[in-house]
Amino acid sequence: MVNLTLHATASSPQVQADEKTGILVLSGESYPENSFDFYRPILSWVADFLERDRRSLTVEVRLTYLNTSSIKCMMDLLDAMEDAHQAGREVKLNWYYDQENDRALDLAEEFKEDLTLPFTIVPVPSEG
Amino acid sequence: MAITGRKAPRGDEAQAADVKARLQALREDPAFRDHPLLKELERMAEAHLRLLGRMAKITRISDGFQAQMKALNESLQRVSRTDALTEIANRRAMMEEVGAERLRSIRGGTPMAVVMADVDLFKGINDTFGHEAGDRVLHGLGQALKGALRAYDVCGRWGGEEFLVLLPGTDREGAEEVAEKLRKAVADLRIPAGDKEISVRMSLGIAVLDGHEPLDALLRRADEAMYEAKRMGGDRVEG
Repeated sequence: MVNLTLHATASSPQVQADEKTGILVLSGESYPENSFDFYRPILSWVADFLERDRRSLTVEVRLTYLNTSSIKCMMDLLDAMEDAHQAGREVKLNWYYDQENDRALDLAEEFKEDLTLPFTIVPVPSEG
Repeated sequence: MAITGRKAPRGDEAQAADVKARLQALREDPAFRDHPLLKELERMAEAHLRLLGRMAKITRISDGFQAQMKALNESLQRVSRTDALTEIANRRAMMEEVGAERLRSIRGGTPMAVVMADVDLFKGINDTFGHEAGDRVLHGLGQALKGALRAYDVCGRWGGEEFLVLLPGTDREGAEEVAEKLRKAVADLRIPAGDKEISVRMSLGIAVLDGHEPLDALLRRADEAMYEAKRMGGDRVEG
């Protein structure tokens, strides 16, 4: 089990998955050329972590934009977390959004809809 | 439902209802009720329904992000055409407006005029009351000019203390009338500065589009007329 670090690019978010703390952070904007290729290692990391470990998993999402295929990948990630939660694992998700942006709050709530895992929507003060 | 008023497209709902109805019919049909493949069929129908719901959700969220991008794009467009200090059009926006109006005027054979307006002795205002007061004067001027214009006229900040006004469909006589109204609106303006009031005057230069003359020639003539108004003592309209 290793840590996973991907640096942000113009079209993909920064990713930091820490094996010790069980925290996965996604931040930035997500419209990579091939979202499925981009998210595959992230989904694998989560699957490995959930399989090998009994410790809790925390996912922090600080994404301001997701293209359609990234939305699909995000829902796959949420599904994996939901399954783990249903199986009795401790998983939680914190979704950060710009508090000035009502649309961003609506979108966070759309992602949360139908899930039973602990899903916290956290307002972040606007920069500047 | 997180976003009120938005539902899955009707086609998806109808399709889901159809899948459910057909599955139910099979369950109730004595010929299929105990068929070994019924369980498999139920799993497939479930997967199908799940996929339909998933697709609707992805579409909804994607539309949300797209609407967000569009709003952001529009606000950037607005910002890129607005002068931050005076909150009226900036030079770039005015160049576009005047350029487009010139072509309309030539094509339609209608007149058009521009007015270049510059604050008299602005340096004195800054020196006496400070730059912060000077900025408030510029903001007040922008709003006063805008307020004195007709709905279809456009004014913008052209440079430091210089404003440009576009008068579509307006001939010399009409332009003189509007420019005089602007001069008066400015002369009547009072900007509070501590326990004092600042009053300002402007010199205005009119240029009416002459045939197919290039844009820069039109603007140069308005500028020259404005300087003529300054030479004549300011607080007046020339051109």
